[in-house]
Amino acid sequence: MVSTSSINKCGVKNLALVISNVVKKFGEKTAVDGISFTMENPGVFGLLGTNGAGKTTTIRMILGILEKDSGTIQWNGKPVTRENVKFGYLPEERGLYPKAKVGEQLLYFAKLRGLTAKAAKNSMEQWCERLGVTEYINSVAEHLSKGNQQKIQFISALIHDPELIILDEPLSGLDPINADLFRGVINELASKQKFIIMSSHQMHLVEEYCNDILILKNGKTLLKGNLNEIKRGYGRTNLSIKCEADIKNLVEQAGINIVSADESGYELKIKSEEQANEILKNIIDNGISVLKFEIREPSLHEIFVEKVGGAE
Amino acid sequence: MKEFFTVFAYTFKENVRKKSFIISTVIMLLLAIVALNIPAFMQNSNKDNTAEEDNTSIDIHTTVFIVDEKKVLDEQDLEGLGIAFKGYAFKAENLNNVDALKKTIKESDDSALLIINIKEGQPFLEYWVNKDDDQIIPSQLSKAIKNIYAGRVLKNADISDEIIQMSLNDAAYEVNVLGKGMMQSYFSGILVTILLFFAIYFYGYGVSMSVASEKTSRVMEIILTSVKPSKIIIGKTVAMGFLGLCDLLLLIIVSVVTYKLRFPKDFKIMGETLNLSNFTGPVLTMLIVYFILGYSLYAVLNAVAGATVSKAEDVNSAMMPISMISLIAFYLSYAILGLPEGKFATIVSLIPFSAPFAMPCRLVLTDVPAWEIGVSAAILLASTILLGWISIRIYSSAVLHYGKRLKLKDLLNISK
Repeated sequence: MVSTSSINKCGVKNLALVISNVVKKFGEKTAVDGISFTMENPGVFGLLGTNGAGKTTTIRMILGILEKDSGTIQWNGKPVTRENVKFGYLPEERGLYPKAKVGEQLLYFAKLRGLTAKAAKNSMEQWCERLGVTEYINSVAEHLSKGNQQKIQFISALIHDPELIILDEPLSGLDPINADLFRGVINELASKQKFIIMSSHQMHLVEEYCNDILILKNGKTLLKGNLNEIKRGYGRTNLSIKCEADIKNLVEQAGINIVSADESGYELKIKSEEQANEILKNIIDNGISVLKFEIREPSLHEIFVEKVGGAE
Repeated sequence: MKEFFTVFAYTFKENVRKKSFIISTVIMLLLAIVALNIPAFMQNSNKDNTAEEDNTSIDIHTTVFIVDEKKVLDEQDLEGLGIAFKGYAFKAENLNNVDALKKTIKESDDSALLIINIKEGQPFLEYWVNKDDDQIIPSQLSKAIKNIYAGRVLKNADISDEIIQMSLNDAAYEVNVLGKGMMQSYFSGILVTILLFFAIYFYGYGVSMSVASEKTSRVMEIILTSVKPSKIIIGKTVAMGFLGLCDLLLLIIVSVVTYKLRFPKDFKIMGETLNLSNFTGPVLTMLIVYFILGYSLYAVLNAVAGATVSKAEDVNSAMMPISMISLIAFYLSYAILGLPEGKFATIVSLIPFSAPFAMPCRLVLTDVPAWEIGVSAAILLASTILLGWISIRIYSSAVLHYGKRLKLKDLLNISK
């Protein structure tokens, strides 16, 4: 898919967000060590890593609020600065004046981003209605629940219709209903051709949205690329089986590694699909009925744990 | 510019509505009104007292024994002295009694001994008193006795009474004070120094708190994605300063109105007229100029202090070095009250950190040469710009630093 926004007026295709060889040091410690990635198309990009891996530092450098030591970050061929790009930023924690009224601070943020007073008010009202927080406009921020504060912050990130949106743990502190509400908004933003960079520890969320991902560890790139391609690269080596009787003996006979075993059955690591077929045949031959049998690619969760945990 | 005004308007609005601000402003205004009303109350109660005093003031509190072997004074002259010096009785004594009299004087404060002699044709007086705390009497006595003696000498030379009277009259004079009275100046000087110190400290603290709360709530990160750090720090500082200025102007207006309405014109403390006539228009203008300059200097430093903390509780300790500087500067300014014209005073009012307290204080105390005011203001302005420029650089990096509180060394490193 070639989006319209990544083609400029002359019809020459630009790479929208290009980050190349970015380095940031804090004293002796290298927080980000030569990261490069490109976001060619609108959609959601997943920035993953353990705590302290350098995600926030990377995000801050993209936002231009932290000076990088070397490397370049470009948006449509121009350096990323607050003058060139309209950013929307949802920081991981807080980001609201605790003692100020919700409505007033939202208007303040909107005006700082160049909206007129009237446009700011309209946009605020629309978003508050959309996320169901209209009744809190005149409340002091610190009196709101964590979930509602998160909604206000989400509005503050989106109120000025930004082009490049950075969401740091967008769903933290939300109940399932509100999490769905946020999902809907993120989906909508993606379909509106926005460029979204999302950082999250919730792997299923990343799997749901992200086309491309990058996993960081200790400031270095551990893995990056298209999520589907990465998974395909691993091959279909995961097998989930659930049967009415215990199949432990059969699995051990076949020499297959057991990843985990619980009430919902066995998670197995297979070398090839033939190995799976073989054990299925054995199970059926033994007269055990099969409730579930699935050969699949590893989940992002598994890839993450393997990559980040294993590379010590 | 638009962003600056947005930051300015928001900061101003948020702070002007704060309960702490409203309460402190009201208290300050009430204090000013009460303080300016005190003289009026004091004078009212004084009036009642003085009426009673007139009746009692005839009491004699000091007896002056006079030993006059050369008969410079006769009986009539002694009576005349008694009438001229209210509260004093004059009693002729014998030379033989002198030692006994001295003993009496030593034991009590309410008697004195005057020995009159003639030396080289002129009366010579020896005055004995227990404590030398009543300087007026000997000098006045000397003058009175000289007049009596000279009158007698002239009369003996057949000069007419008229001419004697004329020649003995003092040249008439009137006292017109052009300089600034000490007592009054001292009072005004303390007032100015304290007022400026509190205004500069209080609003500087406001800047620090505002920066720290923005940083700890991480609002800073959001704002920084759309506004340059320099615009935030300038907008915030100017807004707090403007708030302080409004407060100061309000205080000045309320004080001036109360003063005009309620302050007695001839109010005196310890014999000196006390009023606020030292606060002329130009002095008030310079007071405001020095508030603006001094506030700006301390505010940019406080903004950096606020930017170094990760927890709001740490603001006070981060501000510590700046508070110390301002306290030392305050005491230096306090010290020049006694000697507002000395070299020390000049130096203190040129140092940028103490100038905002010292110079306005000197302006009410004495006449400061125009060049000194100019140089002092220029140095203050230049330091503010220089420190402001450094502060913006430090602020931009410090404001995103979380974790351990930044030390001065770290700050210098990141500002490079």
